[in-house]
This record gives sequence, structure tokens and C-alpha cells, in this order.
Amino acid sequence: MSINLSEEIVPVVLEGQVVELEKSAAELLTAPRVKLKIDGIEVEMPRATLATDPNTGRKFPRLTTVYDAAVEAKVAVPVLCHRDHMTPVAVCRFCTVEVGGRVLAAACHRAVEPGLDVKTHKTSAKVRKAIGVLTELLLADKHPPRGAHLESERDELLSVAAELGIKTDKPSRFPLTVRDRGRDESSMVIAVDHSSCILCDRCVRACNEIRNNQVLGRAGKGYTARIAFDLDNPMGESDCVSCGECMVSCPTGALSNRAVVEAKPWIGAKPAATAVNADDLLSHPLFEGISRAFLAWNIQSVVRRVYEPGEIVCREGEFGSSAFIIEEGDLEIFLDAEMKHAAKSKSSQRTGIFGLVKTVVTGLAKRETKSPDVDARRNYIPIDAPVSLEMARPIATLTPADILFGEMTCMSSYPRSATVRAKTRVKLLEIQRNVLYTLQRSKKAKSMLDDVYRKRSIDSHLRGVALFADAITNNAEFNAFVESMRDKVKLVRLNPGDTVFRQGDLADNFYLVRVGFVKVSQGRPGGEIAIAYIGPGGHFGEIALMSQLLELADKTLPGVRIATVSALDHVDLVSIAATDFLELLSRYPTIRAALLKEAERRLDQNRALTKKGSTEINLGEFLKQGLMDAQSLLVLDLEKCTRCDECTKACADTHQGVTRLVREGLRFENFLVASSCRSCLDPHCMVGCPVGSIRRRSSREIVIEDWCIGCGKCAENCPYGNINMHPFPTGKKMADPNQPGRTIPVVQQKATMCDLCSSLDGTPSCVYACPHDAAHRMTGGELMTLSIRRADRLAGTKS
Amino acid sequence: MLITGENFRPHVPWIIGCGLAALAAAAWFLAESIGLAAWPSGGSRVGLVLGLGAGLICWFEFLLWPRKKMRTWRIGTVQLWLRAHIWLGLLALPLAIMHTGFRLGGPLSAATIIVFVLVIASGAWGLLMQQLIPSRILDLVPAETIVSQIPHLSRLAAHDAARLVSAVCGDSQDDEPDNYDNYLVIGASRHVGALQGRVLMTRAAPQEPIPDSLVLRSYFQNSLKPYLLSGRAGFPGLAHSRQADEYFAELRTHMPVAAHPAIAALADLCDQRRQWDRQAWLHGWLHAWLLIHLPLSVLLMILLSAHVVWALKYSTHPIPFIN
Ligand code: SF4
Ligand code: SF4
Ligand code: SF4
Ligand code: FES
Repeated sequence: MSINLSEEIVPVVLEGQVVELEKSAAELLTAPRVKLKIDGIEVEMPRATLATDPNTGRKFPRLTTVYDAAVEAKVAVPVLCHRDHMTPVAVCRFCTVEVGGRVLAAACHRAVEPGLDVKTHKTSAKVRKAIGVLTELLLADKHPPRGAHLESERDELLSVAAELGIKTDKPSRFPLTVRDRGRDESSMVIAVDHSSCILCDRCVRACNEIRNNQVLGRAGKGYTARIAFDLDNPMGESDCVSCGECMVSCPTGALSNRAVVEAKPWIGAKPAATAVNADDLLSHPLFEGISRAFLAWNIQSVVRRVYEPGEIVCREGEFGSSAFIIEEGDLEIFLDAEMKHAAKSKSSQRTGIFGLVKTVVTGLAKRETKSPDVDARRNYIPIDAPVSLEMARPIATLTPADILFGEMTCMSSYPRSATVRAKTRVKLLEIQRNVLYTLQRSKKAKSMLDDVYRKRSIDSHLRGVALFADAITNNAEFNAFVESMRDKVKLVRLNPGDTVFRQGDLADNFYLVRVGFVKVSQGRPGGEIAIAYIGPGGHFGEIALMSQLLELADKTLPGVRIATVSALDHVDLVSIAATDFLELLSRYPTIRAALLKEAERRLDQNRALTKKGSTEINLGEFLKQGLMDAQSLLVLDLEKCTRCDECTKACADTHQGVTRLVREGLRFENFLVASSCRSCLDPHCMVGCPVGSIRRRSSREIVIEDWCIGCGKCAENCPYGNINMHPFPTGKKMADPNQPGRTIPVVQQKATMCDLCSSLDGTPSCVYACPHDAAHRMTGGELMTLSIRRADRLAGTKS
Repeated sequence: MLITGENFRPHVPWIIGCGLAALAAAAWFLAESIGLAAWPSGGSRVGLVLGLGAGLICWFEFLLWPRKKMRTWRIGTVQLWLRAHIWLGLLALPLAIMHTGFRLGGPLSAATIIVFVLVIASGAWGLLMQQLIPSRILDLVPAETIVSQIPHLSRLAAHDAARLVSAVCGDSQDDEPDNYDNYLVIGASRHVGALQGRVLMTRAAPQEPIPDSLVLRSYFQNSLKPYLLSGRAGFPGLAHSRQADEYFAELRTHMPVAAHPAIAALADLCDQRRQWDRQAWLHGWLHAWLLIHLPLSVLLMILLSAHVVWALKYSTHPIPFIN
């Protein structure tokens, strides 16, 4: 929908966050649901849903369409130019339906209205005829795709024709066009056959909206209209980065994979892995509706693994970037070392402004180092699977009905929260992040996955929060508590920058942080300052809700938020409504006491901070630089560093003469954070990789596998400039397009980044080679602690 | 290596060990000298053992050099090697001096011990520099960059300045005729990702030329550009901040007020260049000692080898363990 810039902007609370929207947009989103009929089936739909522009992060209302309603009513409406994750453009009219008006409407574009009585091709002869003629015309106007590489594509136009009973093996009643609109094979990766293009614009939106590459558009008019790259350049000479998104979006095979540089699936490491093919995957219900071209293009990102009873699938504490789809068999899920799960680390006991600062960064790091930091009273253990584990008998069973496990590690790169072992002979599909992303774009797969995710994440989070486990020590009582809370909590998912609530708002919820980090800030006379950040396992929002309690009555404003909380990265929160929260407090005095203590501590800190005027260390800068997310910063102490460059030379020596670190970058106090991969907890770089080649294997470091296609997305997405592109020889040769008769070698551009020297022995050479004890690897939280200590020391010297 | 209270701990075992070794050697040396008319010579039992110890330490010290070149070898961190280098090197000094029996000896022995003392002294000087200079750089050079990149960054800065001058004067004489953006990024380190390392400033360049400002071009050509490119060597008149203040104050009197923000940007660029000069100078002090320490060490190893051969072959003293 179009946005009127002169309109008044109003804040509304939607899906657990504060969103600022134009008044009309806000009204749409909060309007009552509408009832309409699709082929006689009544459905109730919202007028619009809240959507986020993936490129700008801007929130906008996405109008609910008749097509959405048809999906809800389970009536299949054929679509060609439309994709759920793209803006509808309604150019093909395949989704034509009758809505009672003079003309037929495009279901993918027509917004729902109360009382609409929609007839699809199933119930309306007029619609059936319209789509039939359309299909015939398009078939007559288009060549079947040419080229030997096309066997993996599926022509969606032919599928629609088959569905409508149009014979494609007989000559058409419409004259076939003879004009060849030309081919473009200038790209090393993708072939373009303009004659098979039906101008559905899916590729254009894929390139510009989904990937934000802004390469594809249209050129020409009338019969000469065609898709065009940049200013109508040959594809190979355009700014195309070969991400393949256009190709996997094309319904007809007009854009197809040239398969010049073949990528091999990663077969090694675990037992009995075999490659799969696209047909294989399409037979799984989860993959229904996923583009065959996508699966063929990304086939290296899925392998099938067979585990014999007793074999370990993944281990607790390991990092990774894959999830597992259960095809056959049962698995057991358990904890390797009993009770090492408490996310509550000593740092959370720290007093002073940074008491809550690194509650969990270190908690996670500790898991990795097998910390004995335990919470003996914890009854249940949060895990990355649809079941929860009892401390007394930490074993549960996963079956194919649970669909998949490990997706939290895959999506958010957190370490695996449990060990999974085959109970019977099991067949699993191990998928990489790019495949999981694409599954989440498909409505059907997304709803299947969301159901599992919501249920599991809420349940496991409630069981895992130390606050509750500490307070309720009796097993039966704890079970009853989780049961009673299950329906009262909600999962809130936020994107970076989203606001949970603002200072001065009326309090309505209490929040537990499940994934990611939030920033707590306060408006002060000199501007807004960050006062803390809270990571996984932490909680916030209790102060305003508890302000009516006698103990806090004179310390804070009643019912009003005293700070603004916003998401620093992708955040999952578990929220509890105010009334349920207050009931919880009255039922469990121990929880009340713990929360009260924490609230008082935070208020005291706040007062101290107000008096001082600012923090000793620039927390705002720390957060702005994303340091809280870093798990392995290369930090150079500039008081010790003699600028001898041994670290850089060591890096180059380890990686065939090309350094992966630059001894320059942002500074924090007297520390230089060198430009070298930080192994972020929530890596930005991994988000956009079209083929999933940038990933975590089983440890913290991020690696780039050799099936990288060199699109440069990761380098572009890394906000810290820590990924570089380098050309590597492929050993293949091609005919030189500029000089017939000559062959030239094919080089493949690939991304390179610091792999913490995992290619050598996993000890970072930069640190090992620094003669002066100046180079260290540390987490963002550790850097913060170090800086505070340094600031304290300096303050001591001054006074 | 900076040795402070904070990181003193790992040095303690070395200090104690080397201290005890030095004391033990001294005690033995004194004990052996009781009843002798002169201090025990290098050929005496104690002299020979101490000399052998000092010689072996010298060889070990020398190995730090190849060790630092083998950066991917996992044979102990370089830091550990350096710690050993410092404290064993200091231990070698008393051992070597006792080995001489406080005599210079013949020309070869004399040369060896003198070079040895010079090596130790240059090393100690280097260590002292490492204690002092890094924090000076931190204080005095906020615009610090990688020293080897200074010429490159200077060229970038001069180019940025040329664009700014062209935007102000409306000519583009000898600098590439660029399309002037509405903004100009003037910075030390670029390409450091979305969170730029230290982009020093982003200033609006004038949308269109400012009348009566052509004089800036000659200032730029004659002094600013050479200074931005080569620092003090290019134009000494801007080398001190006081001089620069006067220079820019004078320039402002010739220029319309509208051009003053551009002059401020140029002054900032000069300040950045001044910091790089300062950085290069401090960097020189921080590393120059190696130019003495390393060649002297090589010379010492040669002399030491000659001394050993000479002593074994031509020594007139009986060798206690051999006969
Ligand atoms: S391969 Fe990617 S960048 Fe190139 S045209 Fe297609 S979508 Fe755009
Ligand atoms: S190339 Fe494919 S995706 Fe692009 S407009 Fe043509 S048919 Fe549609
Ligand atoms: S090796 Fe150590 S002292 Fe040398 S430049 Fe790197 S951090 Fe600084
Ligand atoms: S799918 Fe609706 S118009 Fe193309």
C-alpha cells in the first residue's frame, strides 16, 4: 500500500512491540477481522498484517488478499507471478477469481473485504475459461526452455496447464510465435533464454526486493519487452553477483543454471551421508511448493544421513549451522554432562552498572568450556527440540512427528543445547541455513515450523529460566507451574532496532529474553544513554509492573516504564501479561522476592548513574559497535603493542600469504579491535548467503566452504568489514567470449575470512605470534570487563 | 614487551630463576677465587663453565630471530620465547663478565666481550623503548594508522583535499576532474565495513564554487599539497601546530567567509598529517634499536664462534676437565 508522508504518525503496540505507523496504516492493522466466502467456505481474516521490509527494516501493513483467504480456506488458486514473500504485482492474471463485480479480479492483489463472495476456477466457468485461454496464449508465445542443463527445472506454466486439463502435446489453436527473442549466455553461472520468459517479473522482484541487488529490470516495449540487466547489458557484464535468486524464482526455466562450477555436497565428517536430489526432497511434505530450481541449485546444502542405534547426531555445546529433518526412526535427546546447563553465570552476581551487562554472553561461552557452573535446583533443562528434559531422567524421544530439531542452532547460531542420539535406525536430512530460510518463506512449511518452534521455545524457555527454577524447587509444583503458564505466555520475535516499549509507556507485560540482546536506554537531559544490555536468560519489564508493591512504592513512578528497551539483533522474547505476572507474584512469594531484589538493585544502579551523569565506560558505543555479540574479538592492547605487525604476518603465513586480519579498526578505550572475524553469536554474514556456504561446522568459528559462489553477500552483510573476496583458480578453461578461438582459465571469486586458524590447529596464529602479550582473543563481554578494570585503574591513579 | 604490575606475574619465575642462577654463579666464582692471586681466568674450571653457560645462552638468544620467522610453528608462544630472551640475556651478562675474570684479554676476547655488552645494552634500550613509546603513541597520535600505510593514506588525503579545493575554487586544474559529490569523506582508514574504523569527518563541500576564492588554489599547490603528501619534508612551514594556526589564520583573511568551513577541513587534514609525522618519528624510536641490536648480535655470534675455536685450539691455559 502506498504511504502518505504527510500523514500523522502514531505509535501502536502490535505483536508485542511498539511500532510507529501512519494513522491509516495503524487503523488498518487494528481493524476488526473481516468475514468472506471462498467457493462457499467462510473464512475470517485480518484486514492487514504487520510486515517488515527486509532491506530497510521499515514496518508496513501488508494487506490481506483474497489469495491469502483462499489459502486459509484450503482452496487452491493457481498463481504464477505471485510468491508469498514478494510484493504482489498481478501481471499474469492466473489467479483470476470472480468477486461479484463487472470484471474478474486477481486474487493475489485484491484485498479482502467484508462479505466478499469469491468464486475460483473450481466453481466459476467464467474464471476457468479466462485462465484456460490465458494459459494457451502464454504457451503459444513461449518456447520451451533450451539447453541441456535444464532437466532439473520444472515449468510451472505446464503444471497449471495440466491442472486445467489443457493439452500441451497437441498443436495450439493459436499460431505459435516464431520470433526468437534471443539468448544470453554471457554469465558463467546463469543462462538466460528470453524466448521462454513470460515476463512474470518474479526474477526482477527476487533480485531487487529479496536480495536488494538492484540488477534486474525490464527493457523494451510491446513484443520486444524483456528482462534486462543493469542498463540492458549482457548478464555477464552487468553488476550481477550470481546469487542465483532470480534463477530459482523463475517459473519457466527462462533463467537456468549453467552448472559450470559444480559444488559438491559436504559428505564427510559424520557417518553414512549421501547426496540427495531435488525430486527426493520434493516428496517430503515440508518441501511441498519449494521451487525445484532452488533445490537443484542448492543441492549441496542438503545431505541425507543414516544413523545406526546408539550413534550421536549432534552434541550439546557444539556450534553448527544445520538443522535435521526426521525422515524415519526415533531419537533420544539428553544431556552429556548432567546439570551443566545453568545459564546463570557468576557475572550476573556482579554489582555495579554492568551487573546485568554480560549475564549470558559469558554463560554461553562457559558452556563451551564445560563450566561446572551449575544450578543444582534446576529441574528441567531447556533444549533445542520439541520436548523438555527432566533432570532426574534427562532423556526424551523425538519422532518424525516432531518434524525437525536443531533449527535454533541453525537460525541463530547458538550452541546446540542437547545431545541427540539415534534410538532406532534413523534417516535424517541435514539442511543448511539457506534451505531453512527458504522453507520459512513457504507459507505451508512456515506454519508447520512455526507451530513446532513456538511450542518448543516457550516450553523449554520457561523450564530453563533460573528465576523460576530457583524459586520452585519441588518437582511436581514446578511441573504444575509450567503447565499453568503455557497458555499465558507469548513468543515475541523482533528484528534489530524494533522497540519493545518506551520510557513513559504504560506497562503491560513482563519479558524474558530467549535469543539475542536488547538494549536498555534512558532519556536524560544530555540525550539518550544506554544503561545496560540484556542477553539470553535475562528478563526485564518487572519494575513498572511491580511499582504498586509497597516495597517499591516510593522508588519509581507507578505503572510507567522507566526506560526504553529495543532489540539489538534478532530477538525472541517470551512475554507474560501484566495480570498473569501479578498473579504469579502472589502465588509464588519466592519469585516475588527474587524479582523484588533485582528490581531494587536496578533502581539503585539507576539512581547512582543519574547522580554520576554518565557511565565510566561508553556502553552506548559498545553496543553500537555490536561488541556484545562478539565471541572472539582480536583485541590489541595499544599500551603494549609495539606495532611490529607480527600478528598480521603470522596470519598471512597461515593463509597462503594473504592476511585475514588488518591491524586497524575500531577502538574501544585503549584497545584496538582489529578487523578480523569476531565470530558473532548472531552472525550477520550468514544471513544472506544464497547457497549456505558460510556456516559453522561444530565449533565457534565461522568457515566458508568451497562451494562459495563468490556473490559477496556475506562481505556486504558483515557490518565490520571482516570478509574479503579473493579469486581462486578452478582448474577449468572456457572459450574467451571476446577472442574466438582462445581459451581462458576460469577463476572463482570466493569469500575469505578469519577461521581462527582452524585450517592449522585452531590456535589463532595472531595471538600465538605476538611477542608482546598485546594480542588477545576475547568475547565482547570480556573486553567490557577489561575496559572497566582499566578505567578503574586510571581513576585510581588520578585520585 | 611492556612489563607492568598487571602482567608481572609470568616474569616472576624467570626473575627468581635467573637471579638465583646469577647468585649461585657468583658464589662459586668467589669460592674458587679464594687463595688465588688473581680472579679465576676463562680457562679455569669455574671460568669455563660460566663461559659455556653464557655462550649457550647467547645461542639461545640468537634463535629468537629464526623463531619469529617461523610463525606457524607451534613450539611455544613467541611471547614465552621473548620472556626467556629478556631474562636469560640479562643473566648472561654477569656470567660472561665472571668468565673474563674481569680482564679484557687478547683482542679477540676483548672484541667479543665489548660487542656482547653492546648487544645487551641495545637490547635493554629496546626494552626501555617498549615500556615508554606505545602509550606515548596512544596519547599523542589519536589518528594513528599503520605506519607503512602513511604514504598511501597521505595520497588519499591529498586527493580529498584537492577535490575540496576544486569544489571551492571551481576549477579542477591538475587534479582528476571528478564529479563532486554533495559530500566529501575525509578519513584515515576506509573500507573497514559499515562501521568505519575512524572516518575522521564528513563535511559538506560547497554546492557551487565560491567567488573570490582562487587564491586557495595557489596556497594548496605551494604548501598544503606538498605538506599533505610528504609532511614536514614537503613543507616545513606547517610542521608545528602553532605555525599551522598562523598559516590558516592568514589564509582565512584572504578568503570569503563561505570558504571558512573548507579551510577548517583542510586544517584538520594537516593536523592528521602532523600526527602521522609524529607517529613515524615515534615508530622510528620504537624500532630503531633493532637496527643496532640485530647486526651486533650477528657479529657477536661470529666473534663468539671464533673465540671458542681460538680458546680450544690455541689456549695456553690447561683445560681443567681435559687434562
Ligand atoms: S543472479 Fe542475483 S544478482 Fe544476478 S540478476 Fe539474478 S538475482 Fe540479480
Ligand atoms: S525470466 Fe523467468 S522469472 Fe524473470 S520474468 Fe521471465 S519468466 Fe519471469
Ligand atoms: S604482534 Fe603484538 S605487538 Fe606486534 S603488532 Fe601485533 S599485537 Fe602489536
Ligand atoms: S498470480 Fe496473481 S496475477 Fe499473477
